[in-house]
Amino acid sequence: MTTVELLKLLREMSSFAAIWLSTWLLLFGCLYLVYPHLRKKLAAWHPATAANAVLGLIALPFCTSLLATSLLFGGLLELNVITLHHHSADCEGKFPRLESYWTVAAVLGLSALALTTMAGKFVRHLLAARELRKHLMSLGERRRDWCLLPNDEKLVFTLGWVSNDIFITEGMLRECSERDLAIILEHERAHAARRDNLRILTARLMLLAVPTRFARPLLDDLHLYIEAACDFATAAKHGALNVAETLLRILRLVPENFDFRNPALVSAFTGSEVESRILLLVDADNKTQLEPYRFWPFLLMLLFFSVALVDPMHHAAELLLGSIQAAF
Amino acid sequence: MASVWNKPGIEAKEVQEVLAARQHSSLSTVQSTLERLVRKGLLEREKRRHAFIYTAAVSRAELLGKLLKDVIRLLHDGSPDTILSSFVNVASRIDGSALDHLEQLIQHKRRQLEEAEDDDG
Repeated sequence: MTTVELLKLLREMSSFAAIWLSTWLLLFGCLYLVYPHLRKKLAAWHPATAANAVLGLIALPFCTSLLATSLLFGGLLELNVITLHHHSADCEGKFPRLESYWTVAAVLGLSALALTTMAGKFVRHLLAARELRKHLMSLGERRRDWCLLPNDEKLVFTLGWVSNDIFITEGMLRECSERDLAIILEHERAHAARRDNLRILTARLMLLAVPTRFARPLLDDLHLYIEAACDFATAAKHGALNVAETLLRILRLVPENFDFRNPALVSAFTGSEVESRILLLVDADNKTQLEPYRFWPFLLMLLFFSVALVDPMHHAAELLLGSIQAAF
Repeated sequence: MASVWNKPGIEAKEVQEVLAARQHSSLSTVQSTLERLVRKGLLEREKRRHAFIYTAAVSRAELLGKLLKDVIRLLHDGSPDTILSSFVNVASRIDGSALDHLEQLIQHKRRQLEEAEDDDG
């Protein structure tokens, strides 16, 4: 590849990144405004369906913007979808791309920095969890598919990425009945069977460019419905009210030596997650599982929005990149 | 750490012998690991003739307590939610009266279901 070709490629990439990011944020803004109305509908659904729906909604701005930008740059739909305008449909050579090397470097640098930071954070957490798991395993006593930790703190938690390990402290075990323990283990097994860690990671990736404050309502709801879906899976074996009672009993036991007033820890949007889970369980017989989630409604929406976006994106891109060029 | 807890005042060579049953580690690897644990404040060392002997600076229970505090902090922080999760969200603290209300709700629902079952029977 010659230097000229490389520079052209970099210009294309930075233009692509600028348009993709702007469209992603714009579409997320639309979702953010519409979401409070959709939430009411979601609350009436079975949690497993609601969790998939929230994940689908989170993925929609990311996937639509990526596909629409790819279509825009691929030029496949140029003649059919893009309406005639000041330079007719022949955009080649007229479609503005970032030309200034400083702008190209800034856009690519910022994109690379954001991706590296996120990837680094994830790998750091992964390594820290692996280290923690190794230490806890060596200090604990392995039971059938969980690990007992000889400590008076009242804790039960799951640690791991692909294969989850369940840890229960002696302090918690003393307070648990056999039924509580069976419910806790069933709930954690449901997480592993549903690959919930992967769902949360996917959601976090799809919200990468969105400021945390705006992503929080969707992430909180995803968490809630994922937990509730596992509660419902457990309820199928142990009964919804038994699961609700265990949740309540464990909630009364969680450590109290932390500052719960920290607003970063408590979502104002969701309220209390466990309280919502108990209310969902009490109302469990009114929630019927909808048809198993399929990808086709999501894919149809994605295709529709992507194709519909190409024309306005083309005009908006000319304006956006033209403005960036003019500014620098 | 397990070999130091099992035999306080152990030498690096002895640790290597204990580990040999499970994995092969060279003496220098064992020594550098022990030194790292000393720097972390988990072990104490003392020069005895030609070699250092190592003693645990923290007990098993103390170390586990420290690790669990890290777990609680991480659960509260919420950022590594793809790796660490709890059966109940420890940040979901609600006051006692709200918990009592939920308990009443569950009992009420249970009575309703029992009455419905009696009616069916």
